[in-house]
Amino acid sequence: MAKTTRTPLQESNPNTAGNHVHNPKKRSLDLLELEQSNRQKQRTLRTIEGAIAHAPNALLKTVQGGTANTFNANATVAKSYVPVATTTSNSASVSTVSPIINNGGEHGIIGGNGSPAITSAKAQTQRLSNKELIDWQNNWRKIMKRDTFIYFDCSEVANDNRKDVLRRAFFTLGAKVKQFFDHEVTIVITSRKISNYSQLTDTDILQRAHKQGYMKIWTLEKAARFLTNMDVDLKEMERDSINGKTVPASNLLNLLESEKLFGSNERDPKAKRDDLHYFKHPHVYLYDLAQINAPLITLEWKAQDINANKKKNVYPTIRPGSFGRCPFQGDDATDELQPRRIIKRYKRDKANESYALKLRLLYQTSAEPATLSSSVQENGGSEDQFPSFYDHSSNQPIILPFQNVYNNSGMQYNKLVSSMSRFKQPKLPRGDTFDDDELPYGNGGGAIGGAASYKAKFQQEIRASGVQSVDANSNGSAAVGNGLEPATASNLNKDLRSLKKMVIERKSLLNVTSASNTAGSTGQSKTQNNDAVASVAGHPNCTTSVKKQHLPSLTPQRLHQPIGKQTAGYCENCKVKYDSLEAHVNTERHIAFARKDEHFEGVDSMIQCVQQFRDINRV
Amino acid sequence: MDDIPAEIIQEMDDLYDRVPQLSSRYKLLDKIGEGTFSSVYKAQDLSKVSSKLYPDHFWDKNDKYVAIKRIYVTSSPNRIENELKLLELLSNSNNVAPLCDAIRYHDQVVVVLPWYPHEEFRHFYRDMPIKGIKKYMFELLSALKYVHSFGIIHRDVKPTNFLYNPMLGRGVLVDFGLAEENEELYLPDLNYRVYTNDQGEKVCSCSSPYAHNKNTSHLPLISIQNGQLNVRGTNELSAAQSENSMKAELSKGYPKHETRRQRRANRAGTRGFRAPEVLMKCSFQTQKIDIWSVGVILLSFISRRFPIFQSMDDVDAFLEICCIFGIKPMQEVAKFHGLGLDMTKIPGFHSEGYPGGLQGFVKMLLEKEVDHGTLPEYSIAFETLDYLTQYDKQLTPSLGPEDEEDTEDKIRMYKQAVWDDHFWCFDLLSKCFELNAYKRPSANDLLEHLWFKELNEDLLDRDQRREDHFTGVVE
Repeated sequence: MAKTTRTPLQESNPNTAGNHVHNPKKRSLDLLELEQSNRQKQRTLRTIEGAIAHAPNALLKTVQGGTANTFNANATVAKSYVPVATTTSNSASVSTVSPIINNGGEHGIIGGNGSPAITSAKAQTQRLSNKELIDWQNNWRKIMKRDTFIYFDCSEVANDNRKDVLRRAFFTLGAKVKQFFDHEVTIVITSRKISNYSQLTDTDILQRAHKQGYMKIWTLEKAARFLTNMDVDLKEMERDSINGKTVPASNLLNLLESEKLFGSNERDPKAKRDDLHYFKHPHVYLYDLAQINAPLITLEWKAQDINANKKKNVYPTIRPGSFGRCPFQGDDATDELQPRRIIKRYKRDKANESYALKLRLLYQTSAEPATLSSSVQENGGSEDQFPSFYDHSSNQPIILPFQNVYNNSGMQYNKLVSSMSRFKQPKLPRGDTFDDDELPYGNGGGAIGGAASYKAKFQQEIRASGVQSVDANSNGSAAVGNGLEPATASNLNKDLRSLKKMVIERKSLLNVTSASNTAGSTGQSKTQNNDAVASVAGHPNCTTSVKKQHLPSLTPQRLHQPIGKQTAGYCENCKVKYDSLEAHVNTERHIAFARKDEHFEGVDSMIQCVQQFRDINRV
Repeated sequence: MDDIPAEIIQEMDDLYDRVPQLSSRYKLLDKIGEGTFSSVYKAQDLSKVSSKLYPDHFWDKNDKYVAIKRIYVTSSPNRIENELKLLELLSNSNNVAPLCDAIRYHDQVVVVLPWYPHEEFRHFYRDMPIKGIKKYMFELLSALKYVHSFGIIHRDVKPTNFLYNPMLGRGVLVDFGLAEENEELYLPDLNYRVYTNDQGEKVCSCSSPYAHNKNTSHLPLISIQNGQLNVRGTNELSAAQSENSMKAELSKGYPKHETRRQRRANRAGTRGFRAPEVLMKCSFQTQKIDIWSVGVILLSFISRRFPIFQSMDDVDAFLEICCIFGIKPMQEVAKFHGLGLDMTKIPGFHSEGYPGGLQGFVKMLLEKEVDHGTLPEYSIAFETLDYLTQYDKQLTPSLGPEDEEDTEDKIRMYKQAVWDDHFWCFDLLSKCFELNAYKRPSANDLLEHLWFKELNEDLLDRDQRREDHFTGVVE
């Protein structure tokens, strides 16, 4: 407590110095008595208060900005109007707050400027006796210690430690800070400036506090003024706050947070805590060893849930599958042993054979691709424009004799044919459609013409995401929308997580089915033209040189859908989510952003660099 | 132009409208790609300036096209500037697409790059022979070596962003939209990212208490014991003890109402290609995250599966990695990043990793294909499977063919080469998948790997020839 006494105060008030600290006289003052004695002076005092009403602003700026130098001067000022504070504060009504502010307005000319306020306030100080000040302080000290519960109605703002400073300060006076607003609260400290409470909604905390009647509502400035009058060294509080220093025996908030996290130490350390969730079932828990950050993964499953979902796992496990599929996805519903699929696969593999053999020849003896003979080129069906040299020795690739005979698509096909030939010739599936899983792997993928192939190509791609997580990081699910959107909270609960996943799964499923539907109509042309498939695959330009077919069979609504154009997404510039890109781009806000060249200064300077380089090389 | 779908033509017309300067320099031909942040069009370079700037990048000397990347207007100018800056900076390598031109009109920015006649990954990953895989990886790692040397992390290494032409054996890295430049990453020695903790263990700097916000770091140090306040400093020993017991409690369960903040880190990238340290939100990520992605691509090749990881979200991605590499190694690396990992009673997870390691995993995947007969008769994957069924019988690979003149026994030599290449390939694969980023080799280290011996020798030969040529001129 000794720390709260400041040297400047001791100098200006030698009589009072140290007295209040130990509270030697311990006079029990009746609040009313004090108020009465002060009422006579009220007019004068109000004037004083008006004069200095603005000074606390400067004071609070000090608290914010950390320029500690002005603190002492302001403290002297603040001191002068202490009795006023007594009057108003002890009248136990919020209404007194407004007159003060109003008075401040009246005398704004003086108060608006820091130094005149100080001078005039100093002049007034003379009229107040030290005794009165001490009485006032002692009185408040008692109130603070005994029955003061403070609630902060301030949102936490980065780089604003005012709340923290005040909290520390009030704690040194012995006041208790309430985490939540309830009837016990006696003082509400707010960052808002409200003159008319009737404008507030009934659920607003200030309105509720106002209605309670007995609660005081102080602005941050008022609280700072009060604390200075109580000779609390806000400067030091601020220093502590900035350094993140804990004030021993004083930082209730830290205690509360510690206790919330670790539990009370009075409890039996072996006893389980009610506020923790303990794992009972199979679980995954990835947590911060230092327990500073929230856990990264908290997952738990009941054994029966795991068993009930044998087919579709609740968590990823290896489900190998076949046909190039993701080892964690498995073949799922697709039975690769279906005759239909065996035949299709065999045809596909046949069509792709020359391309595969060409690759073998290219990389048979060296990791640098060999230059191939023209006959091989022809074999691959490619009209390669790249120079090639005839090489007699490399017409057929080496195929090693293997240890085992490995089952393959050809064998499957022959088996099928021989088993079926007893009855009838195997029929090729009608229309020979392509379904989902052929698109990502098939060499023929590029040969499917038109919109369907575009759609398939662009949508199969797994896209980047997680861009925003530098600020708002998450365990959140894969990208939905355009990937720019800030990720949502991590540690999603299990249901929410699986819901989100379902959305993605359904989304991709929809894409795939729509792609395969449209692909179906084009499939015919593709399969009829097996040579084309091979030539496409063998062609270095294949991704784009493919001749695309027109698709009259496409349904009109699919044509109207802009291909792959993401409609919903997040705009980094306007910081909003949108449902339609088209609509968003035409909003006033976005256009206003787009038209401002200042936003693009960095981009323009880079473009200028490139243009200069181009100009040099133009000649 | 007749065979381009109407919507694409409409899109291209829209782009002409949005960027009026475009039509005088380029003629849009087709749409060739679409990503999260951009669409890409193939175009003709009307002024021929772009193709003159970087002649080596126009692979096809007869058809010099450009690729026009339309960056979506929802991207922030800072992000666009970053991409342009990096492209400019990285324009001196054969393995990175250089910036040929850039135009802005209002919020629409287009970037012009060379157009590369490449092949899509999914068209060749099932059929690429081992030496072809080697060349692909060599090109990719060369690109990354160059990029990493500038202190840049690409962050989005995946087949779509590496345009490769198997016929030419050439590849270029594209899309620096997510790339991250960091002065600290310039340093060849990234040791500062590791420090030795109280227990004398080397741990990642992200687990250092100094990496966290000062204001919260004191939190666990205060406690109330028997109504008495306990602060480290006043009663250090008991405070530390109670702190430890409190932490032990929190390792068994989590608060029902979480008040602590989330661990934060950049996790931009593509699902399925994110390194463990990205998933663990390490705040000291390095170029090594790209090396992990290289490993994912190599695993796709050798196991003939794409994609390898499904990773619907980061949690799934984490568990998928656990499936292959095991709980214990993951616990170790979690600890390295200051995290505890508890995975108990979960069926399907091996504590030491998939039996037989990566080889066992690949073998199992190929065997499943054989079970279903989903590989073609001519599949090159049988070479890998054959290698894996007998690789434990031979312990060391040969260091290249001993008798180069022996053309008679071509098959024997070929077989030997297949064996050697597979051996070194799996060795390289396991190095890319080093869970601990600190121990994971750099692109530069990997290029020196024995698997790439023949390619490095080729490079030496070429340099030698060039040198001879020059000395010849001098004489």
